[in-house]
Amino acid sequence: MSGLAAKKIAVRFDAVDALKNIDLEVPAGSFVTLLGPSGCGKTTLLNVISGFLKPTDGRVYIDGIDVTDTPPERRDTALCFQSYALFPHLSVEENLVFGLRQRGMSGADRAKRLRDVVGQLDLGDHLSKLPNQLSGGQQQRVSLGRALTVRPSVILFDEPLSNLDAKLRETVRHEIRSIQQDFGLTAVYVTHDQNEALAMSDKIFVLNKGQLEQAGTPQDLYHAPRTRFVADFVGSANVMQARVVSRAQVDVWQVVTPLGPLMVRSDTPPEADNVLIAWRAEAVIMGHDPVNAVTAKVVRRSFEGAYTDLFFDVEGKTFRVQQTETNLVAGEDMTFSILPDNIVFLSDSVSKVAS
Amino acid sequence: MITPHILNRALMILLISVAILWLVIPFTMAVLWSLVDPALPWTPDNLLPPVISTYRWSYMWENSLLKPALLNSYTLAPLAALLTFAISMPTAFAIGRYDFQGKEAVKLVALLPLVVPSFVTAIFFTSILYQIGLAQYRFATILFAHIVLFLPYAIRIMSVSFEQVRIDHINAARDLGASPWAVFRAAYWPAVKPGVLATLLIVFIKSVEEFAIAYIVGQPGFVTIPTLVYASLGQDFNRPNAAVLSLILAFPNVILMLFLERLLKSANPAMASGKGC
Amino acid sequence: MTRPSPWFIAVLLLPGIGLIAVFIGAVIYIAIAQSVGFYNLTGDSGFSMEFWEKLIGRKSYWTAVRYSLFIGFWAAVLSVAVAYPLALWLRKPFKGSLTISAILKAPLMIHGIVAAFLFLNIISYNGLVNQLLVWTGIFDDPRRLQNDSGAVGLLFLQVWKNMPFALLLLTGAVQSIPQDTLNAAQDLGAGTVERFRRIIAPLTVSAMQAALIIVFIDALADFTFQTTVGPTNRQSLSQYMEFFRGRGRWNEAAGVGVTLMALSLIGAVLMALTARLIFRERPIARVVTWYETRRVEAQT
Repeated sequence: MSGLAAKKIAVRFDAVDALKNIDLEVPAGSFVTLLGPSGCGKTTLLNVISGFLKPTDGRVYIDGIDVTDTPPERRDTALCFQSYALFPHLSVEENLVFGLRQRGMSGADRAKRLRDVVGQLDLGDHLSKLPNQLSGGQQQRVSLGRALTVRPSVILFDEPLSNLDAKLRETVRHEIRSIQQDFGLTAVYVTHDQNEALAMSDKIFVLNKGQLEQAGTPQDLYHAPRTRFVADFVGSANVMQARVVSRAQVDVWQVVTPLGPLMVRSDTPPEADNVLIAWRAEAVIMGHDPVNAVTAKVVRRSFEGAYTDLFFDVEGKTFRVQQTETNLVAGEDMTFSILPDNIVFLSDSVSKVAS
Repeated sequence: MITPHILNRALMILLISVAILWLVIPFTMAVLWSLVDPALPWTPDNLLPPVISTYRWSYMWENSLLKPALLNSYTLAPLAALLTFAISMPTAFAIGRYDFQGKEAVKLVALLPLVVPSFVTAIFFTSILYQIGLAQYRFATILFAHIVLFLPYAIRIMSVSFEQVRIDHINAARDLGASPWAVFRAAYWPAVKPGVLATLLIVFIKSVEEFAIAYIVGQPGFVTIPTLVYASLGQDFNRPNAAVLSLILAFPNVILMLFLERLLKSANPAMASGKGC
Repeated sequence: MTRPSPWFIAVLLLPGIGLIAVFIGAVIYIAIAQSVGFYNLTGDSGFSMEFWEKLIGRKSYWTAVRYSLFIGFWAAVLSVAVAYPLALWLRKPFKGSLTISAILKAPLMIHGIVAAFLFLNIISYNGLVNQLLVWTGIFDDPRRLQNDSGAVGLLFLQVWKNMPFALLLLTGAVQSIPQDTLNAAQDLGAGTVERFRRIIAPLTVSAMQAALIIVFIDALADFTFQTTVGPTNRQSLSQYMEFFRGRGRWNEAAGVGVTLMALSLIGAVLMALTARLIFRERPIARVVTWYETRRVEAQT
């Protein structure tokens, strides 16, 4: 199979499990993101893929060939570092062709590859400069270019945008995605920023405490989180306790929640009578609807530009509703309904999903 | 695949054996030789000296120039330390606290005594002393040369210390109505204290160890510990005697150096690793 | 930092920098002046090149120059060559690495003369090395290893004493290279040798230069090691200078002293330049950048 595959990867440092039993598949030409908070093991996994870390267990395959014992310098991956890690004593041009020189490529071929990448990334004016003469954004492009010139089987990104300011980050995000598509690159992208992950990826792997929480398309993860962690980490959904009272139809359950009785439509049944359910703050309809209507008092309102967050408290917990246009202010009552389709049952623990 | 762990272990065992060859054996041999009894010489067929005695130590104490050498070395060193420190203060303060034109050049000039070979300095310093007729004041002239020779260390350490006094600490103290003395106590002293101790210690050690000036300017007749050890390695090389003298020169300084290293590390990690300027 | 009046600064600098400048200035001045016949302690003084002519005409002078350069060069190169791999090994801390670096740096604390004694003691006729070699059957009888004419013992001692210093400088430099930079090179296909040649050496070239220069000057002007463990058939420049001084021949001593200072300067510059040319890929670009960053710093 072409592309990248990691099978049953485990990494232990002393007695601590940094990664447990991770399976990862990245088909050729696709863009996969490893998403999770700091310390979740995503960078560890990247190091296993690039070869800087030998896994305690498991194998890594690139284009079907086992590369687990291949050192990084002979592995056909190229890594874009968070710190850029440009060689400070080499010019932009020398940085860009460093990998090609190491592969012993001839001068003419090097020049051609260089021209391609320089054109793509618009670095023509900076070739003779040293890295410290460039802005952060330009350094980022050199770092990307240095990885692109070697045309790796797999390109790896370790939070490449985290040192850029917010505005630049969005531009570069699109640029990376379009270059990946133009070159047909197989890419693994590590980030803790859910917006980046949702916007760029073909598939997202959510990691937490060294384990895989859930893998799926951005839409899957957003609309159908399977665990409390994913629901919270991707788009901070409202999560609450629910008790299953009855099965109203084949795929509809009646539950009791702090907000009152609600109907939930789900393709998978709840795991137990007492479960967690989640719903998205924007997935509500204002006004009195016969199904799943909730009335609550707005305690705080927060204008965010494109939308407004309205907060309300029930049984000591705060919930959030998002509206694009609203006149409601703090102290007023609001009534809304959550469609049964927009509520999901969560699995209560990671291990159940992983095993 | 050789893991870094195994590699490091092998290298470490290798290195510890080298270290034993490199430090432990030479010093053990020196200690053993210093304990050889003159009546029963240590011949090659014996693993250890046949009789262990402290005779050499008391003999050297009574019958060599050890006493005047110790007196000279250990009077020179504290005086050199105090005077070098005092003389370096204004320069170090200027470099550490003020910005002025030619500061880099001044720093370079401050390094000159370390760059000119010490034997050249020693020989042409005596030449000057003969020209101006001061050659007979050996103690004073050696002291003077030591002060100049070790000023670079004092200036470097003290100027880094002064740089570390934070202006906001000074301002905070003044803002709270402190007198100049109280400002010194609150803002300056905590930052410069390790530097002061380090300066005194380093000049002390350097002065005790200094050979070229003491040897050339001190001729004839003025001995310090290094010149005495050097002489004992000369024509009438007597191993037990040289061993006693070498140990007397080595041990106090090793202890002081260990103390100094700790001091420098706690004061300023960059200084201990030689970074920054 | 504030900018007070230049006079105030001058007054502050006078006791420290002033003293150094006058003292070292006077020493260098006297050395140069005496080498051309001035400031004679006995007899007439006056400009004369005869001492230089006599000195240059002597074979022993050139032997001393060549010998001191040989010692200086090899002491510097060997010390740095031994220190580099050790510095790389100790770059990242591991269990026991502190002990190891303390053992390696211990010679810094041991006085050169004591080191010379310890060394003599080990290699003497009845010393440990001879006994070991006889015991293992490599030698039939003990041999005289002291003051060997190839100066192997002397160079060993020079490296023993100076390598820790080079190690100190190089460890600091090597540790300041970020791990990411090395990983990036490895990721792009650079193996151990290439990483050293293309990344580590160029990035630590300043520390390498400093170590080369300081060890070179120290070994070039060596007197104590040479007179205790060095070959007896050759003299180092310091020894040669002291030889003339001991006989009251100040003008010739001065000539040797000036030679020593000139060789220190020239040799140091040459070593630094060579190191830079070998290990910096684009020396000119570096100078330009350095100059530009300086200018930017000066403006802000």
